[in-house]
Amino acid sequence: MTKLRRRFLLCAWISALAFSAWIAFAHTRIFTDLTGFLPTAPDRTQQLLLDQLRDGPASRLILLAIEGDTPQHLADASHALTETLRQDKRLAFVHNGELDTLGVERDILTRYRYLLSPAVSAEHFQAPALKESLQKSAELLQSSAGVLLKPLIPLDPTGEVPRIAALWTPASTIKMQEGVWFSADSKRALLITQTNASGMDAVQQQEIISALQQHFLAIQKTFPAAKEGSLRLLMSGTPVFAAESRQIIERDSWRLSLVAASLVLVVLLVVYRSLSMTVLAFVPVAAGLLVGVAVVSLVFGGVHGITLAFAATLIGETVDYPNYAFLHTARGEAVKNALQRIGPTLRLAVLTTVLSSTALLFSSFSGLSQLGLLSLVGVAVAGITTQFILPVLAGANVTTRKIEALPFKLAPGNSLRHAVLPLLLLALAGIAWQHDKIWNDDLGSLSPVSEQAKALDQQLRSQLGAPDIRHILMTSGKDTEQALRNSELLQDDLQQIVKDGIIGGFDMAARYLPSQELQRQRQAALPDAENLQNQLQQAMTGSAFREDAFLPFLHDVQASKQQALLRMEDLRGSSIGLKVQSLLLHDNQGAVALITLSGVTDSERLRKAIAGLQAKGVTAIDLKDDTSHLINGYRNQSLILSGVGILLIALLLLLSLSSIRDTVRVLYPVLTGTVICVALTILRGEKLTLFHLVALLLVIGIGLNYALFFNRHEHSADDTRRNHLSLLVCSLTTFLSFGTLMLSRIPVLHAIGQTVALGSLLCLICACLLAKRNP
Amino acid sequence: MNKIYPFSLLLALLILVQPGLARAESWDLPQLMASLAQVQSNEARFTEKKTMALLKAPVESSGILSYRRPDHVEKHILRPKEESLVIDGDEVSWKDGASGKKHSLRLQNNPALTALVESLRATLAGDLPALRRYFAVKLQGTQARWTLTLTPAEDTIRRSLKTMSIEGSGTQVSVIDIVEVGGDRSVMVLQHD
Repeated sequence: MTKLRRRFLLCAWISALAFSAWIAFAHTRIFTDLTGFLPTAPDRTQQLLLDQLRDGPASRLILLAIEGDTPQHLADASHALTETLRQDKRLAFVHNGELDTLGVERDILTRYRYLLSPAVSAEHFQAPALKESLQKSAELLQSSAGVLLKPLIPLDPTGEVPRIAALWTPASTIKMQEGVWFSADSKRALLITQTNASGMDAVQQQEIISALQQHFLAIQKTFPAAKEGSLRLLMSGTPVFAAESRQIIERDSWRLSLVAASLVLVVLLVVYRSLSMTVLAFVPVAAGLLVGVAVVSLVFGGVHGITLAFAATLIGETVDYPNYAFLHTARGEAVKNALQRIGPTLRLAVLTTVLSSTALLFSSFSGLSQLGLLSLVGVAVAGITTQFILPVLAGANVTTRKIEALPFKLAPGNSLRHAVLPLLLLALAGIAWQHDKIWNDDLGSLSPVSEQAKALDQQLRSQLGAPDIRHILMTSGKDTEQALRNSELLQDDLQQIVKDGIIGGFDMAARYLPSQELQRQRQAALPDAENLQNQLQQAMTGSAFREDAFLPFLHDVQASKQQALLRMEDLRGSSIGLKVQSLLLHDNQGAVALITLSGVTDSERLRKAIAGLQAKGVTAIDLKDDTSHLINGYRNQSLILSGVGILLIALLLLLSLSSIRDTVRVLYPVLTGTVICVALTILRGEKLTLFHLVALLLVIGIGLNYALFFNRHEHSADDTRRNHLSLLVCSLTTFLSFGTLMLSRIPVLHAIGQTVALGSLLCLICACLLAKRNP
Repeated sequence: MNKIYPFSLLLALLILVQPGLARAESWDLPQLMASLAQVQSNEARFTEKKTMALLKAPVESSGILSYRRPDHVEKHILRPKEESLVIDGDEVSWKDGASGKKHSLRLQNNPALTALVESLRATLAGDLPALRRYFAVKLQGTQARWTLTLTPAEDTIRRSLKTMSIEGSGTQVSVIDIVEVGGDRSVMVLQHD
């Protein structure tokens, strides 16, 4: 290599790094929204499903509970917190069960009662029905509650206002105590709030949650000092999970990368006893990471937090390349020479790993293809850096390390190799035996949220009768009116499901905003002045009411007959309006009305009931099953891609080694190690997720390096001993850096760490046992 | 200070020098309240007659009214229909005897209802500050036969409640008469055994 060419290479490399650093540090958005890691869906239902996960009304609910004091104090705190939170513009609504605070809503309800009430029909205003209504009103008036209802009765003797109010009151099954919602054991005051921001917008949600805590602390201070400490606020729901996940992801990715890097650093310092060599060993890693992140950022418009955390795995993989080079260098030899010697093997090692990452790159699961791209670019850049830049940087710097070669002998290809085939068969049999329990398609298993937090969520959700996140029904239409109309047609069926005890209740936009058509029908059903007067007169014979008691009622019915229909605009600014907006979605194909279900008691019977509704054009989303289905699809695709990747690797090996025998010699131990790793994981009762698949591709990449180096043609016994030392050091650094990932609370990282640590070890053993015996 | 001092001294002298006058006027509102505040619990049969503009004829009901210090009042209606109304602390709950349905609400959210509740409860508890929070209070009569007249002090309450009078003798309330703005009226007569 001439001096000029060397300079040019170095300049090009440095400018590439500088550009990457500029992109990575100054122009990279880091996503922590877990759905950003999710695929984009192929059809409308699936896309709506994903939108639901991101922005759906259920995903924007924060469930709150206050505990640790007497019911009276808890109720006071609940009241105070509700008052404060209602001032917060980021919250769409706050409910704690108190009824009298709904001022605007009560006005809407009273004004539009004859258009909103499902009881309105022609018969409802005929003498017999009226007589019955009057009877009930009279009883109420004479009871102790009469004081409260008295102003309403002359306007509304048929009781439409209380009827609609009962329909609108969310989850009327929650226990009331001290006038607010309580858990059945009276230990928790319950509240519910909905954020305007998407439930998955971790940054905004974090701010809102901090604000909630601040407000609560302020309220806590108003309590007697003795009680101050005992009062506690519990929070749950998708927004809380999102914020928590983000924190865990950010913390873990930094912490683990640092720990992994320092462990590797210590090992290298011990081996090289030279700071400059150790630092040089990190140069390819750093270059790979930097360029990898920059490319991902350019291609995807940002990097996901999980992808960044995954960068830690690249350390374990790419630090091997310079180590192979350094450790193959004999004492007093220049690095350049050793690189020339191992060049072909190293190139093949890098290329096979690049090919195994390609399998991920083409996945339509954006999270996976980010990981694939990062790993592909990172590995390639680290390989190129090792091959071309490292000799330049190392220059005439010769190795002086104490441990030049392995002090003991590895005996590859010894008699234990006969145990490999039976082990492989045993592992395959184990996998076949457990074949129906291999995969875990639950999206929830990817979430870093603790089981404890999930249990609290379940508890609060059932106590609050909050809408079930799993089941959502949808009816669509070409416009709002049609979507509303279609959902109204389902009311009777849904009511029946409630009566059957399968669900506790349901909610839909049409409940607050009936379709124009239904409103017109109700208007038409209202009797004219003369008719109503006659019917009322008949109904009042023998009633306790004075004859002129219901003049306001007569007037209001006539006004309702003429009044402008209730429209979305009339609801704006009220909590009812926000509710309607969250239940009525629009996309480019028209409008979709959502029906949320709450208090699902029997999933099996619900499934059957839903099947009946589906025949009527309802789309049912089972978030769990549907996401599982979705994930299942991506997994199958990834499996096929991985198969293609392995085939390409085999082809590459065949071309480079130009011997079927040698190709098999390299592939066989790696595939065996991988299969045994899978078998061990499954037999331990762990189910494989998509991310185990990613880990297995890494195992194959790393294992191939081992097999390639074990099967190198060495020219001298010294070479062989150096080779074996390089293999041990490299597998140790790999084991340490992936082992670090096992400490992560993020299931994804934990799974990858565990699988690669175990798999690479198995591959090392298999490769050693099956390697060609050196003469 | 110097200006006021001789005056209050004079006042004190007047009271001390004329003990007879002081005794005649000594039975006043604070004293009535103080004696009521001594009562731990109380129970009486009641009959209530409500006259409402909406109804042709007055509605009568009867039952048992009980009170327990400091803030528990229970109105158990036996006729014509069983019902119970329990006021405990800040919670009002109403139970319909026939259906067994229970409703509850917080006083904090409803000033008009709170005033109505306190007129009775604060009287029974002898809690003058609580009464004065909602009403102008006037006492007439003697210890053996007194009448408290309560007039709403706030606009929100004045909108529905016109006036209220509570009659009693000693520490026992005998009549509660509520007159509402629309002319509706409720008279409750209590009988202590």
